[in-house]
Amino acid sequence: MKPIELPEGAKDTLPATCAAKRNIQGRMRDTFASFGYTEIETPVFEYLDTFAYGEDSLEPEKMLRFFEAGKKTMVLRPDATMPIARVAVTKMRKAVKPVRLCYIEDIFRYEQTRYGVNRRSEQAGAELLGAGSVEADAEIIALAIESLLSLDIKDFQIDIGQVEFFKGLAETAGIAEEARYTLGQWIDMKDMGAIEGYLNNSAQSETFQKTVRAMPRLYGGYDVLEKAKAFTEYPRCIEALDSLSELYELLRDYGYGDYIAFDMGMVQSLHYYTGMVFRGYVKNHGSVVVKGGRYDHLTRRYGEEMPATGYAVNIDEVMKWQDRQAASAEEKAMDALIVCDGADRGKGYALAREMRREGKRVEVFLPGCGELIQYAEQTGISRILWVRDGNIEEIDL
Amino acid sequence: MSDLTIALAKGRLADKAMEYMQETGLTCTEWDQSNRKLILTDDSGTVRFLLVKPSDVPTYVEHGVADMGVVGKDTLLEEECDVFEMLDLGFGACRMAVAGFPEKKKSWQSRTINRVASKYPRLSRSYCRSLGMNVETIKLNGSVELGPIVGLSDVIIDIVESGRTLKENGLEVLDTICDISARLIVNRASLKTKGALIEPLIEKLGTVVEEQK
Repeated sequence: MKPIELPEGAKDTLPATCAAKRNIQGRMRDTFASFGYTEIETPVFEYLDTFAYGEDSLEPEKMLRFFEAGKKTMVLRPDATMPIARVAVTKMRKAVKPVRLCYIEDIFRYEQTRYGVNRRSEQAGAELLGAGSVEADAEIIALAIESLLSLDIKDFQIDIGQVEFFKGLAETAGIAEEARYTLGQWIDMKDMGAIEGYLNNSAQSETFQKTVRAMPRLYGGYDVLEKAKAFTEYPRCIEALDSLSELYELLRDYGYGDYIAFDMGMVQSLHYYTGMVFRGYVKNHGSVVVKGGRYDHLTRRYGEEMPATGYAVNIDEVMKWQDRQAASAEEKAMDALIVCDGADRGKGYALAREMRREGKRVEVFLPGCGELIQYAEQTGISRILWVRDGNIEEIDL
Repeated sequence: MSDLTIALAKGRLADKAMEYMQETGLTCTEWDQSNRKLILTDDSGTVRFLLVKPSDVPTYVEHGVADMGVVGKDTLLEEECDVFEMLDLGFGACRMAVAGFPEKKKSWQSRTINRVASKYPRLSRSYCRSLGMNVETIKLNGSVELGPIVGLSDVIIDIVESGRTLKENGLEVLDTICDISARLIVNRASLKTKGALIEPLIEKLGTVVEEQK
């Protein structure tokens, strides 16, 4: 192996990309702060047990694990929400509710796709813990919308679903866990053919069949909720739909009605979500940019049950979107290149210090870096300040 | 730029898909002139067709560079992509099957096969694994039937239409995995952000499919 090879999924972030990333992070931080969310950090590595539990757990095979003889298995943080849930019911247990926390962190998961291996993604997210109301869900979605707007993303849609709708339906009908998972996947992929095949071989009630058959097509504007209601009489499903109506009214009052759509076929049954779930799609961008939902039971395993809701923006996707918009934040140009030596060094350095304190970006030309003008041209610096014999000469290129 | 981009699997599926598209009123004179263009635009100038290798259709759609695509279920099973699979178009019907010499039937049934040759290595591997078998999967790009004949593999996993090629080579179907046909796939984000363009087209295609039945 050559010493310059990187492990699959590992990446260097070069200046232009790094600047774009910091810009996104900065805007996200401002948005979080404006809603009263404070930032925390959790460890990059923790015990596997923090993340692996029961049937809804993240798959341990997808975590980057490491072992030490005689110690418990550790993993690189595969999820940002779970450690925050842990902190909220342990170290911040006595904090006034609700607790509003945010983070900007890398998460690590082994995802083998057709395009190679991806092991890291960066997420900027917020969690609202200790509030079980629809108003709390609305606040999280409002914050998600504000974050996209703050990133100059305007043409997007927030697609809302409700985990309880399908869970309620399947559990009332007594569908076994495994079949529920498979059926859920088909509904999520809107695979009518497979659903039809399953229903033809099942002895489920007419209501169940009718609803499942309709689910993949139950997406669109507010009227979808009314349409969905016509399909079911199960109380849990109706309750789920009513909570979405209420959520919609709240978001309309926020002034965000136009961004909202619903998809009852959004079945994220495998996760810790317990109520509303949402995904944000941006026009002409193929992947989900924002994701979130309510997770009322997640904190239980850390000692105390606390209703909670949250979301995260996928920073890598935002960057891809920016690239495609060809509007990627330009690497901020240098304000000046200062040249000085010998007796003029003191004056040159003082000038650099002064300009830097004013917030300017200043480079001091280092000997041995080639020819001055050529260097300035190559690095795109348009202003040279040459300190010579106590005077400052300005050269504009 | 066109409002809607559709990726088609080059070959028979594209011919049939275009036929269905024309039925919905989406005419494309460029297509009728049957040239070798890889990008075609419909007569209204709103829809762009990309003619790509079948296994690339899911890639184009998953990445969102194409909003929709028409591709065989076999390719979808092999590529395992995250897209909406919204319509079974019915054409291109065949089945995914395990085939081999008749005397291999017993060892297939007792799950004691060692090597499988296939154009669909991922599908083959995961299917065998789901049966509790750990087999060596040999990827071939064509004439898969040769595998058992030259002793490269015990059985093959491939799509079977009439079974004629198998028969002519002394092979037979040992097991059927699933039915295959052309599917209409849609990018998740596109369906949500360009629904006004996509939904009516799916609706019309659905009607064409019903009529063809």
